[in-house]
Amino acid sequence: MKFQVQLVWATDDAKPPAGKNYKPLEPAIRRQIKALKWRNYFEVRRIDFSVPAGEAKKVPISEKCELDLKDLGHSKIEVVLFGKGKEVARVRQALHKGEILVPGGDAPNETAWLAILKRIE
Amino acid sequence: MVRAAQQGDMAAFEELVARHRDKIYARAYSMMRNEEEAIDLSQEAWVKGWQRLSQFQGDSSFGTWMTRIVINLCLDQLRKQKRHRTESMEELNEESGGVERQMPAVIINPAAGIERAELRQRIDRALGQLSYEHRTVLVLHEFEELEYKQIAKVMECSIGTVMSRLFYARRKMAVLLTDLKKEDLR
Amino acid sequence: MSNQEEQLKLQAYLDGELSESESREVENRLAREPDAAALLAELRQTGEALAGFEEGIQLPESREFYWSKIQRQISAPEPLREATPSPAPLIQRLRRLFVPLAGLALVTVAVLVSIPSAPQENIGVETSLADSGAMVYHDYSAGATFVWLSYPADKEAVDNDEMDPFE
Repeated sequence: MKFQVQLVWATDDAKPPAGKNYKPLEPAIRRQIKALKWRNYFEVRRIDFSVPAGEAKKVPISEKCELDLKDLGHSKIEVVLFGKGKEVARVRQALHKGEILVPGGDAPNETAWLAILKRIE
Repeated sequence: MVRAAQQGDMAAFEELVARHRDKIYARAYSMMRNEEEAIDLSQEAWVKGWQRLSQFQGDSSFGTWMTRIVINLCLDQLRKQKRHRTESMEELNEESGGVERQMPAVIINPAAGIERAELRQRIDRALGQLSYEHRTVLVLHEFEELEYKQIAKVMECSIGTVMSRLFYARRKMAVLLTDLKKEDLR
Repeated sequence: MSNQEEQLKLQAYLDGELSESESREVENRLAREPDAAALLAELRQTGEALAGFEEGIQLPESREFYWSKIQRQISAPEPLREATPSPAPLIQRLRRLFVPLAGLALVTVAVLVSIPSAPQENIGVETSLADSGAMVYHDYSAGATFVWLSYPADKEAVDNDEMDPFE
């Protein structure tokens, strides 16, 4: 299975902070997270990766966050989110092509961080 | 296929969705003019269709039955949106007929000389320029092929209002398709 | 021809909405009045131009993706109840994060207290959240599952900008 994870900054500000070269999130993904209330979303980082059948893969999202994805078969995956080395969430669900799983949390100044995990293949 | 779906065969229902999805989506898109809303409403229509499958008697085709479901959902949504919208001057002008009603009938074959692809684009743009009432009556008459009294019932207005709106919508479409500007008509 | 009523009658004639006698009246007028005939032609040709417009419209989603959302809504059980009801904080948090919950995409919200393994199998998602303030939320129509954590958990650290997840 192929995946993409995007670390995204959600904000009501029109632009990223000075000096940060984040680009606006593409419209297709914006549509999928339309339930969230922020006005703007900027991609901080994007990582494409594959997980062989039945195996697991660890993907660092930032210095403090890591995502561990395991293929459980029949489109089911287990995702473990680590924050500063500690497990903060474990999710087991089916994720079909095109669907997304979005761990997220608050960030300073009423913004938020999102780790948008999308199944590509 | 429909009978199998009525007996709970999800795979059969999925096949019905695959066969008719473009048509149902297209109807929602014609009415809502927004891709996302059209996708959401068409999916909601399929869910309702599944829930009401036992009510489908075969009086009409399955596709027709489904389009009626999506039309009703679109109308509900449009009514909700209208309640929260203030009417623009242009829309009030449309309601009273605007200048088009007085325009002489000079448009000979509005689509003449226009390539099919270009025509589709013009129609798409033109539909977006109609108010929701005028676009709805046009869609219900031209695409759904409803009679005046059926349209009046669906839109909860009089037959006279249906006729006025349809007339205005058609004339406005003719103008928009031929790229005429209002100044040219005076 | 300037009479609005006559114009609408012409339209009704085109649409087959007139009685036989009314239709004959219109036909007589059409034979006498070139303007009326021209307007009828315009109305007819506009209809012909519109025909087939929707046939070219295609759903911009793959079969699998489109169907998966429908299937999930068809199969969705009753919404989960809260494990331990705390209405004020839940509603406040929901309002803070998500757009108003009136849309059709919002189906289920699950609030999980700190239970190391609390499987929620009846919604096809199993979660265990070490984070006591976390929430799981599904937007079926968008094919999206949100897992909202209170990480970074330390408010003081957040206020002091010590814990920027992007660094």
